Amino acid sequence: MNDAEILLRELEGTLLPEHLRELEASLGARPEFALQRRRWRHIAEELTKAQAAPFRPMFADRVVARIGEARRLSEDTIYMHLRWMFARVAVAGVALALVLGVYNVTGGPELSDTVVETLLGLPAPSLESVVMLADA
Amino acid sequence: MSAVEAPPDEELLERARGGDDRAFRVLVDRYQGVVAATVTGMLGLGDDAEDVGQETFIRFHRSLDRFRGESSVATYLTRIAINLSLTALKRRRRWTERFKAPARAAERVSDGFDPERDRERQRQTDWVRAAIAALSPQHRAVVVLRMIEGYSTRETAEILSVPQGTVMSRLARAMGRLESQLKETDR
Repeated sequence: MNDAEILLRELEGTLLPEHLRELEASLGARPEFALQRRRWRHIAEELTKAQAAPFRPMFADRVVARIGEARRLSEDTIYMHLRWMFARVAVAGVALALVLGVYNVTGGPELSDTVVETLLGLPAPSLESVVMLADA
Repeated sequence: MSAVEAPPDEELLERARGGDDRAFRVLVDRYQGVVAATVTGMLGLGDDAEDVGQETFIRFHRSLDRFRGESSVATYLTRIAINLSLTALKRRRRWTERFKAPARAAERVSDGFDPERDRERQRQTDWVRAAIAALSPQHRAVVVLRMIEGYSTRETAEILSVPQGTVMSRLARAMGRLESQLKETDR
């Protein structure tokens, strides 16, 4: 253990009694070390006495307000994401419906006689399907 | 006069986890002194310290679900505060701090009983703050935790996530620097 560690452990109160006795015995023979010890003790006292500076009044209120703000912001963000997603899904859905409708009208198999049924890709009712429906 | 017994941390934490802001507010009130000592020790007085103090509690609030009491609330908060302070120190321009620190130190509130004692205490506090401000962030963190806040070497090592030997060597070096400054002041 070097001098610094001995002094620090003494300040902390964790220096073993035998080391403490050795330390006290060596102080007389080493005036420089004794002076260093006095200075370190003085610094430690000054540091302990240093006033802890409190935060400005209403600190807790400001913290809780910021947490509330962050929460609102987070909720807003979720809402904005949902809106963004819905807008894109809706546009894609309408576009797909248009493409399928155009395909049914122009290039698809002729399934029905009316424009609406063709647009929606509905098959024309056949005798067979009418019988199936009646049985059901 | 009978005082209403304050609820224990565990109860407040449980309520805060459930979204009770009033419970969390009590925790902030209870531990703001601990956080203030850390951040003002690390950053000096000023808006930076207040911001880092608030951010410390906001981070704590975000991590409530993860906090299971392996360490005490004070130690947990100190760890967050130290890490945020070290980040803030990296960001801060040193010359700005040198201009601000003496001006803000003069804003300290007197307790109004004994002006002479107040001045002496203020002088000591200013010397300590100036001396600490001259240390590197790593050395400052050790001095604040170990010497000002009174954490043991083991706890300081735990908070800073470094071995105890590192705490001792950093502290020895920091004390050496403070000793040099003390000699300068005494001249």
